[in-house]
Amino acid sequence: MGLGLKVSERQIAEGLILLSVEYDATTILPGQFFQLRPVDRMDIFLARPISVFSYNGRKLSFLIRLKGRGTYAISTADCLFLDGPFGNGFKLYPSRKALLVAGGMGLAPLYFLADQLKKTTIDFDFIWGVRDGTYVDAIKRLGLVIEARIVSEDGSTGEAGIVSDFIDEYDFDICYVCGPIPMMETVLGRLKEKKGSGVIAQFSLEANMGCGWGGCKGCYVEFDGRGIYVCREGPVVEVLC
Amino acid sequence: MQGGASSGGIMLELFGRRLSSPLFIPSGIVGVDELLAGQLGLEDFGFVVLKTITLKPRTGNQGVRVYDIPCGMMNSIGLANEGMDVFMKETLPRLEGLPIPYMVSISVHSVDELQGFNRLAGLDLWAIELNLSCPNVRHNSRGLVAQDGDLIFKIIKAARRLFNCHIVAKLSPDVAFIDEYAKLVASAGADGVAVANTFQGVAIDVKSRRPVFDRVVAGVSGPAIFHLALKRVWDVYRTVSLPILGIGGVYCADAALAMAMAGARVVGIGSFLYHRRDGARAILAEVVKYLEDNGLSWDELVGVAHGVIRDKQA
Ligand SMILES: Cc1cc2nc3c(=O)[nH]c(=O)nc-3n(C[C@H](O)[C@H](O)[C@H](O)COP(=O)(O)OP(=O)(O)OC[C@H]3O[C@@H](n4cnc5c(N)ncnc54)[C@H](O)[C@@H]3O)c2cc1C
Ligand SMILES: Cc1cc2nc3c(=O)[nH]c(=O)nc-3n(C[C@H](O)[C@H](O)[C@H](O)COP(=O)(O)O)c2cc1C
Ligand code: FES
Repeated sequence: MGLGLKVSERQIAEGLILLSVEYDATTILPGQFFQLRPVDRMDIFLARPISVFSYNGRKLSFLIRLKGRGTYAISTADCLFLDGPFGNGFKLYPSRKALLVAGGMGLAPLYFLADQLKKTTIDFDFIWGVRDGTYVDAIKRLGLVIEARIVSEDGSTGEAGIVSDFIDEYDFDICYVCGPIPMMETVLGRLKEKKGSGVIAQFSLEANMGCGWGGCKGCYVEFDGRGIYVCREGPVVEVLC
Repeated sequence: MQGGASSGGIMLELFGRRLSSPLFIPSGIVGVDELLAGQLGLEDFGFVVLKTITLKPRTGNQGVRVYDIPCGMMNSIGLANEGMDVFMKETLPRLEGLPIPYMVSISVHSVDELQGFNRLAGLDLWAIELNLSCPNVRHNSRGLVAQDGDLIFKIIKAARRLFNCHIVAKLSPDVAFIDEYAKLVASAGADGVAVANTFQGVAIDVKSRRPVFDRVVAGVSGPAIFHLALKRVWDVYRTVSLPILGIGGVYCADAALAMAMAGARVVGIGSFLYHRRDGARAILAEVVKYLEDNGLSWDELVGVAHGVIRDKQA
């Protein structure tokens, strides 16, 4: 039903914030998210959906882009109200070779997924597409190491290009994708061009959320011709290409 | 104990049913799946009004559907629901598993449309709420059903003939004199009046310079509307003697108590459950304590703020 937790660690770097709380209530799957808001503040009325960035059974961390009113308020709160974890999370296929494709802040859940995959025998590659160097620099300043191939649209960091243009270089039969909807649609298009390949693609979707637990019917989006309620039926949807 | 506070809670009566709490979940806040899955602690509520159903299934509105605003929220869900057929075949049998009483909510725009719900007439229902006031589906270019006095009178009159169970009319707060509308539904035969639905509002995204919602107008709810809703309850209580289901922005025990004091027989807790799923727990406990500390029953609280100026006309 949600609980108030003290922020145990907070690091800020240009537009991004890494927040941690002490948490040992349950197991969490990569791709699951929490509803987060400052405690005791009615002016941030609805919590914000934020993916789990890392979790080791004691420390739970979130990587958050400062976007508007809600995320700014979260970034300065000493105590957060958390409800969750919600959503289905990514499904692992032990016998498959994986490709992780992140766009912008879609990095957060895939970072956690990569961390979990490392503990398995599943082989994977990881590409992270960004518009420019801002997030990459910020991540470095946060002291985080992203073991991913970096691709930037303006060429200012890593290789120049659009992340979806790079997926053909890889050999994989499961693809995990998180990023802005247009980017995910482009990736889906690319994967479908290889029709019959048997590639399974899992996309983590975004929608404005009222509750996070299925009550409000506010998080409806259509993706690949399917309508889904992101908090309850997602955020991860699977498409067989 | 009728309308009294006991250490276990409060007992009161509504439409011939004894309820264990004066708090209820208004329509559309939670679906049947989530009710049955235990997403909310139902023991804090006297009853629940189910999500409004329409004759045909509705996907609901496109684009942004929910939006956070200071001390509240806006929604443009657009009555997403599975329609009457699925409700009758699949949902209804599952409702037997609900630990608290429920009211069915239906969306009605005309007397003809109401006839389509005649299958509900054959059921042994406690009460049906007629949602005449959803801001997210339009009646016609003139506005909401609940803004058309002649129409709501006709619809409630027809509903009175069609259904044997108790009938509640859910009004819109977006009218000049809500008590006039309450009088109309009372004279048409309603047993209760729900005051009220969301207020109509607009949000604009200054970055894109476009309205946030595809339909531009959306419903405003949450603490931001509490005092506006309280005024509507106040006005209706002074005009009609039907039980009032007071709804709008209740977020703490004082707000729930004030709603009752203004005239609400039962008090809805809606959007606040999105802020805190277990939000009703502390409210109920504090209301019970208030009654005990002051030696009052819930019944004694209802309308008490009107003192001697109460002037019933219905
Ligand atoms: C399942 C899920 C996981 C997410 N994980 C992360 C994460 O790990 N890190 C991160 O930085 N962001 C994440 N987001 C996006 C994050 O929820 C939004 O950036 C945030 O809600 C913006 O709130 P705001 O008040 O700062 O921005 P504003 O633009 O001021 O928000 C206005 C309203 O729109 C909603 N909103 C705006 N953008 C989004 C969005 N992209 N998704 C959902 N609602 C939005 C807000 O909740 C609020 O109701 C995730 C979103 C979802 C759905
Ligand atoms: C997401 C959402 C969905 C709603 N759906 C319905 C509905 O289907 N039928 C209805 O009569 N009212 C609906 N309402 C209105 C509520 O029942 C209630 O009247 C309103 O939200 C004001 O109360 P609150 O401020 O406590 O939320 C909805 C409100 C919200 C926030
Ligand atoms: S966020 Fe409320 S139903 Fe998904």
